Amino acid sequence: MAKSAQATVAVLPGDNVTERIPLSSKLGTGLRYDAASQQVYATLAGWLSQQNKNTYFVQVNLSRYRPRLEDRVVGIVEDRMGQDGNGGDYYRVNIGASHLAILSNLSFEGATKRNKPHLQVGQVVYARVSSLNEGLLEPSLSCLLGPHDAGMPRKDWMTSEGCYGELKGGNLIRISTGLARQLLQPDNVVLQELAAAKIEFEVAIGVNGFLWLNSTLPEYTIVIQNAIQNSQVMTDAQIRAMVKSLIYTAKKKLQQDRDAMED
Amino acid sequence: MTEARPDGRSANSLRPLSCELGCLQAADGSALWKAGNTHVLAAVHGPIAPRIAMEEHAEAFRIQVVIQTSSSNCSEWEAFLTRILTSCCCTQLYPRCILSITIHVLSHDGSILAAALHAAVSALMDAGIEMRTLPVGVTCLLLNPDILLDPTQVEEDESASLMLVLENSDADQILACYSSSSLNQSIHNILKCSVVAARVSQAISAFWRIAVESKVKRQCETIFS
Repeated sequence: MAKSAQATVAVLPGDNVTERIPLSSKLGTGLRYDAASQQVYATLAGWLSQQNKNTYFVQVNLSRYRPRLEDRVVGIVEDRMGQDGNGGDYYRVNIGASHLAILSNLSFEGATKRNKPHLQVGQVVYARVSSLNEGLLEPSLSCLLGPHDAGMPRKDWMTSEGCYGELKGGNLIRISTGLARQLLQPDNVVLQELAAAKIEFEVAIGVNGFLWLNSTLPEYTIVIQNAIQNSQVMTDAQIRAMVKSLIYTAKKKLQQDRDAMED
Repeated sequence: MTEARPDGRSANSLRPLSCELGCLQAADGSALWKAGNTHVLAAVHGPIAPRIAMEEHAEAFRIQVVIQTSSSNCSEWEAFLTRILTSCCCTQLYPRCILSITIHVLSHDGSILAAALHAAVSALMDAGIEMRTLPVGVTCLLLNPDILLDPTQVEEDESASLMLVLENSDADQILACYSSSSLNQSIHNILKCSVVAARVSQAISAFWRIAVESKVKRQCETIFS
């Protein structure tokens, strides 16, 4: 088959994209197959792109999150719903989706009836979407290791070394889902530059657009937050220059404060 | 006999269009649509959980449209837009949700319902709501034997207009039609207008493509890897 028109192009809802996609590919978000006419249509306004060899989807940058199975998300505990039959509690967690998600405090590694975490309202958790409940109920979260976490060590919830669980301290900011996806790429420029600048920080990025930051000094937290939010509208070269200038200004200010205190 | 229109346009020409996507930070999707001097702002919130559990539908989402304007036929327009937008969205992908669309008419100068429809659809595209097709609205003024397109307020004051909604992908397919005067809604009139409107709807679709492409191409350089 001759190479068809380039697959990466801007599409509108209702566009017929059958020519641009090979017959054997999988359809991701934003593409719909109409069995009656055997054509593929786009349903979102965005950039038609290829995820891996076989999957095509329409890339969009939204602020509201649509839950998908096995997505790793950061959420804020909103309230305690009630008890389940097994001695655990259900909590409602805000993940920036249409409904609040449900998290049981027995779905933590090593949690039993007598030994389970007590989640406080306003606490930040890093969890994965374990079930969408067919859309009839809210999505369920879990802090247990899932099918995509094959290589991770299984640590109890009481130690803070596990993969999922509570995130203590730090700051939470909301970013768009497109930026979150960009930050999760292995070659992301902004995080590389911040790491190279030798300021200590840790960051938890949820694909739902919630970003948790923790750093040793509040000045560094502000710099990191600004750098990440600015990187949404900058190209790679601009990001490198921006991060250098932010770090330089912050370190200079801290040095000045230290000198002023010593006088 | 064709007279020149008050603003010098020909019978078949539209006023200049302008669309700004994502102008409101707090809304999930927003669009400012300008057609000449008619300016309409639409904001979309959703899909979100309804406040009253009775409003939710187990298999699909429900759209609520609110129009803020000084005109008196708001609620008819709201019901009309709700029906069109519900038929164009992939509602079964968002069970138990509500989509709330608020439309503010910032400046009235005729053909308001079409501008409101276009603003609402642009805001839905900005919010990332999956749609089967894009509805295009064309307002026609029937002054025998002419059909004037996209009338201004001055022209609409003389005679009631008829609005046709066509599908973007197949311009021959009429989705709906609306007229404030029932005299206009004869099959004969509708068919006469649909011929003219089909050509013009291509222009509006092409404009939408330009608006979306410029936004998406900018994102490609910065945020899409």
